[in-house]
Amino acid sequence: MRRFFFHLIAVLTLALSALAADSPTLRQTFPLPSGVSTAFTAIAPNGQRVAAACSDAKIRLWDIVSASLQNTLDLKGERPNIVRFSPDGALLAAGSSDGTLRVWDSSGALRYDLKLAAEIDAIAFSPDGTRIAAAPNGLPVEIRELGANKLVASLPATFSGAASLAFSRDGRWFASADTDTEIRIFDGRAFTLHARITDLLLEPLALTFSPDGSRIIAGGADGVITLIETNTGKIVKSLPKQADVVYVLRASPDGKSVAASYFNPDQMSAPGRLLIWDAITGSLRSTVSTTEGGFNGGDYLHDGTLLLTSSSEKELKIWSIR
Amino acid sequence: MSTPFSRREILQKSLALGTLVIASPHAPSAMLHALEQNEQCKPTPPNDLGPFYKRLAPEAASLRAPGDPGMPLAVSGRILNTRGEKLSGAVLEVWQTNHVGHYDVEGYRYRAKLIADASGAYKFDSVVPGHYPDRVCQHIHYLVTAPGHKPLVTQLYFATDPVFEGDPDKNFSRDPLIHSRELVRPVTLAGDPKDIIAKVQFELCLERA
Repeated sequence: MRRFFFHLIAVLTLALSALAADSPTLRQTFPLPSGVSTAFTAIAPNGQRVAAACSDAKIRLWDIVSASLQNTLDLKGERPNIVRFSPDGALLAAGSSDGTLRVWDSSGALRYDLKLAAEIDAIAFSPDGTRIAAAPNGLPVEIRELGANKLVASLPATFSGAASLAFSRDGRWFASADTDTEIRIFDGRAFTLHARITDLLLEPLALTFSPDGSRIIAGGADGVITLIETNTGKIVKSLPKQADVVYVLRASPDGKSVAASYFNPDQMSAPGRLLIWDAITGSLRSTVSTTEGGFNGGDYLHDGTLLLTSSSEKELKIWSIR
Repeated sequence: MSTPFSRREILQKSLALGTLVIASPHAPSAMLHALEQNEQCKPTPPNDLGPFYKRLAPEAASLRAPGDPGMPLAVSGRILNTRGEKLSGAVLEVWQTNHVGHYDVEGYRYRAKLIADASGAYKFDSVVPGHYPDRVCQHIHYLVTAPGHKPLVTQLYFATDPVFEGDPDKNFSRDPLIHSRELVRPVTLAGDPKDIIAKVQFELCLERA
């Protein structure tokens, strides 16, 4: 209980100071060891912990409010591509370039150790944390029951695999951004195909649900963020096209804004931008830039007034945003 | 144990630094399978799709427009299956950068759809692609489909790529995405000295579905 109040007071302090800001303001940094950069980050849904897949084949977990390093998981040479927390924050999954899919509990104990046929491009937990979806490179998406390590469903694209996966928070829907340029929407429990979005010409690289699950937010190589009505599979809005490629997408907790990282397709290692869009009007709210490399992860914190970002810079950052 | 760099990892690394070099194994199981089955043709190793595939490329035999800068290139080959059967009517989609390493994502420059002829043959004209800034080697992407066969996503590389320093056998894995030496194809020069064209043959073998 004491720890809870400590977190609450600290988060509220950060959030209140953020309200006064008109444009993103750097609030806090999480330095990485010398020579180490992140490949991807995930934030626990309660906003208390951040996990970073690091270039030295380690996963680092920080307590966000105290900015203290809590745990380091050594993958012994396997490079983690992607990390995700279960919706209750109790489990952390990491997919590696050698196809290893590992799941730890909050104490850092390894709970599941699976091996897929190819390196893992994307993972997503079902809302109850009992199932995990994984996208092995170039192969069908796999849905697995974690406890029994049982394959529940295999969801092939026309060719190749998927770049991004997501469950809606209520578990009703599951969606995949597939490398054949389609977005596929499935029933989130039976995994029967519900709708195919075939309007995109270029590959969608990022995908997330709005908090109420009514919309899918997707973006990719065409530089356009597309809002899709989940139930019908119809595109209901497209945000202004950018010259750069959309790489990471996050919806704010209130569903009113979308944070999107972009990279320059002609020079992916060039400094990147993160644009915060009004999801209702489609107008640009604010911009955050890196000094080197593109943003590769992050998420909204608390009520959406704080944003954590990771990039190839030598630290994670928390920004105050409007 | 070291492993090949991957599609997501290439994106992540490229966002950070550009490239790294590491040795990489691939496709021994496919080779073994082909030998066990006493099949005529070993399946072409798959290779990464990359993030710039674009649907609905126009059907065209030339990716190069008149006056385009760069070394003219002629690519040809056949589409077979593991039984050695010629796959007439197989559909190829090819895409690449221009001569300075730029992908056209707005339009369809250096992108085309091709249909294999009655003998399973295909050919197209282009220019030797430049080095995409965050990839090590020059390459051309392929997506090949034929009824009754597994789609093949792969890439063609050039033995003359300066990255290999004249020794692709030794140096092909300098590009962490090249998992198989056989995707690096010999290049021959032909034509008048004032009008040289690079020629490459690339046969593709599809697995039956």
